[in-house]
Amino acid sequence: MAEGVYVPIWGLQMEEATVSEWLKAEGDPVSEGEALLIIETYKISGEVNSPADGVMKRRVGRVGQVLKVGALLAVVGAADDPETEVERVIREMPFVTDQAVSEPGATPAPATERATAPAAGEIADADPDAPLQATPLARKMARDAGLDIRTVTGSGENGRIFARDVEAALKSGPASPAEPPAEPLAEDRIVPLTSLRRAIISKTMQTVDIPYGALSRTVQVDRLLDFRRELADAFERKHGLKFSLTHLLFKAAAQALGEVPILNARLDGDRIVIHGGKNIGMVVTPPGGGGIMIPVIRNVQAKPLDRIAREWSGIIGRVRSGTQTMEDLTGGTFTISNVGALGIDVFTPVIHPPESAILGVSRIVEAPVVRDGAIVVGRTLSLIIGADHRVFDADPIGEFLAAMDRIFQNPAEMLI
Amino acid sequence: MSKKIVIVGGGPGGVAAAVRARQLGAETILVEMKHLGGVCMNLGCIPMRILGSASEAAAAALGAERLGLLPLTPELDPEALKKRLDRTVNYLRLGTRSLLKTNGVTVIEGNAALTPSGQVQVEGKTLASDAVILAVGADWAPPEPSGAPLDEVGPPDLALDLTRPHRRMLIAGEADWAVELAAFFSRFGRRVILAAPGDFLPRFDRQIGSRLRAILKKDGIEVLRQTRVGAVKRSANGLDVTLTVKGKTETRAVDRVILADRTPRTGPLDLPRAGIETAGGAVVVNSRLETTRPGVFAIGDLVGPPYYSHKASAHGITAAENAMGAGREFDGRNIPSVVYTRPEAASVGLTEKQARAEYDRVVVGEVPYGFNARAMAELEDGGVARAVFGTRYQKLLGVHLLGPQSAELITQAVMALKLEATADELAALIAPHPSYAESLADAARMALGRAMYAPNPDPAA
Repeated sequence: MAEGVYVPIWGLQMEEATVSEWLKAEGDPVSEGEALLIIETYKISGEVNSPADGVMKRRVGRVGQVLKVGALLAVVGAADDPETEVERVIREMPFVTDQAVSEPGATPAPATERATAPAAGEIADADPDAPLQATPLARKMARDAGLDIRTVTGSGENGRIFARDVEAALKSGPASPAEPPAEPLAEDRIVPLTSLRRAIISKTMQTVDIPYGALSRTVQVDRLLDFRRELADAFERKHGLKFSLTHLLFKAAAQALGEVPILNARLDGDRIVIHGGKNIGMVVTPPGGGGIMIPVIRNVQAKPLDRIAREWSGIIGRVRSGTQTMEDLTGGTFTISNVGALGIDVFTPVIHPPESAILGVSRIVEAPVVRDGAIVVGRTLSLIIGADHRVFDADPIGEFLAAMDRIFQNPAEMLI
Repeated sequence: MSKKIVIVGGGPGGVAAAVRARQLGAETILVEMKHLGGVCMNLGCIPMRILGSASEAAAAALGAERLGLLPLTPELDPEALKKRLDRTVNYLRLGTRSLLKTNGVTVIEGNAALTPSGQVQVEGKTLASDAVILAVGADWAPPEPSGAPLDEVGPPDLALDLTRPHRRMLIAGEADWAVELAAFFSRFGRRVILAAPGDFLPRFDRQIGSRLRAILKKDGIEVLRQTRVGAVKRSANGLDVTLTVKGKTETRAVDRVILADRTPRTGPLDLPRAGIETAGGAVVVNSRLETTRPGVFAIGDLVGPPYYSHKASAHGITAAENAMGAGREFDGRNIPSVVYTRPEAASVGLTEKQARAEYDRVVVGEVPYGFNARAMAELEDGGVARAVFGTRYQKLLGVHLLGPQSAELITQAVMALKLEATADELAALIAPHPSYAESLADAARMALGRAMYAPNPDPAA
């Protein structure tokens, strides 16, 4: 009997996954527990396994397609199961009408087309796996006019796009150069949303309703940087790890949060939850770019600098190799965004919901500072707190930034 | 309850409409007044192809020496050929009857007329229907010549009576089969004058027409253009025909005059009574082939030229679908034209002249078969492949061929036009070697300035 293979749920926050690679072709023998394909969420990627021994009867999900949790990915069954049996599984799957979140490219073709068997005598729908059909002339005209052919609706057999369709699209579109352009057109590039970008969109949109404020304090970092430099060699000898400003930021923030715990809180309906654990995330760019990730070190307040350095090193290694886990990316209570490497002086860091505060760190600059009544050249940076003002007001932010400043001027505090 | 469709006329258009209507589930009645198969099967395409096949075999035999054989002298056996013709046509008629029967089409024999409400009446009995498709074809144009009707003057039916000998013929008309008839009779020793009312083969590029004219002339056919047939009088010497050739009057002596032009058969149906308009002798239809009376469709020869069987059957399919409510427009741009002479001429799309009128700039790739390996091997190097392209996207606009098997080869061009191919795709075509198709690919390359086997024209010229 044929069985469906569905998008599994790997975590409470998981809503959808992208089909990234098929490991089995239709007709391949499969055994129970054997990997059939790889899917990815914005957090992790993983294998989906066969529920039974048999053969891969039908691959339903397409590479690049975003499917909801529970959507049908494939049908496996016995080698001699008839096609009608496969169709039965497809018909009976949940989310029949709404399983696809998005398609590879922008071609609107519901993943479930195959589920509705064509009535006798009717011409069956186009194979959803078929490449976009457009005539050579239509392609040339679209390219020439800077029009994305995938946005054109085809009027031919099976939706084939003809020159007339491109003409109609150009006529109805906003820009329709009737004359051939004198200059070669700079073509727009269409980039399909990755699951990472999709997650970022979803997260950042959650911040739109937050009454947001950003408060900043410029602090001298000469002593902090000297502290790091002085300890660096010994640290590396002892722990085999580089000692960096990042580790100090984690530690300083955890200590400051210990003094001003309201910044380590979230609004939960009609109450505020102040977290005991300082689970601090740090914004990083995954290899290849295309978005950000926020890996988290848990209970930073209880961890010495070498432990922080070791955990962070492990996390960064996993992010670089794409093997980060759910654990690495969830559970944060406070976030640090260090944009120093980008040469940024001032910015308003975006809160990472459901957290209520984020610490922004700007670039380090040489600046005139007053020390012992004299103007000297010092090194400074700006600390910026982006805050959800439903949870707290300016006072605790001032306290938090003052605490940070104090720690920066007395870095040895971090060793206590 | 299924729809009921009545089709009037059992030619290629009516038969295609009937089968399609049945496929779509309609109850279908087809009314034919005489023979199923229409002009195409009974008098036109098929008989002409039967004669043509004999004529081509004869031509091949006459060319035997050039090919390296001992001389052969082919001779026409009119009785045997007529017998083959009748047998084949009868067989095809039976095939059509069986096709309609297996598809569940009810065939009624009789003369049809239209009621004022647009319903079909046969012998006074009204056939109630949801839609009507008129497919009654075209008649031979009435003879223009003044004077009393003569036995020796008439439509091509007269020519098909092979058993009545005649020596000298005048064949008048623009239709492609006027040329085919001329080629056939000339091959078997008749002296033939071919009189075209306008240009010779107006649907083809001028270069195709002039090359074919030269070949026909070599075969002994006199081709007159811009020629009208005037009075025909019986004389001691046979028939004296008065012709106006490019404005000048002259008289020719012949034994037979064949008038091969056609005109839509609008008369017998009493179209005005049913509120169906005509213009220029043809029934007026919209792009969905519906007449001015909703629910009544007209197809094929009845709606005017070109008078092609393949146009009629394509019309039939669209009209049947629209009678069932499809609302589909008929795309008449890419209907191929073919003349079954030796060599064959075939064309589809715009001629170079039409293209130049429609587009600012066009580019033509022209590969004479003197550069084609198969043509040279088969001593068929008098032909040519021409392809007309726009310059902005190198869009294919038309293809014109003269050479063996052009009727088959043109279908590639029909497909290329249908799928909106450009010179780039045609240039990349891998044609078998040796084949005539190679020249079509090279014509596309020539349009891109990089013909491989034929000399590229000087871009400065």
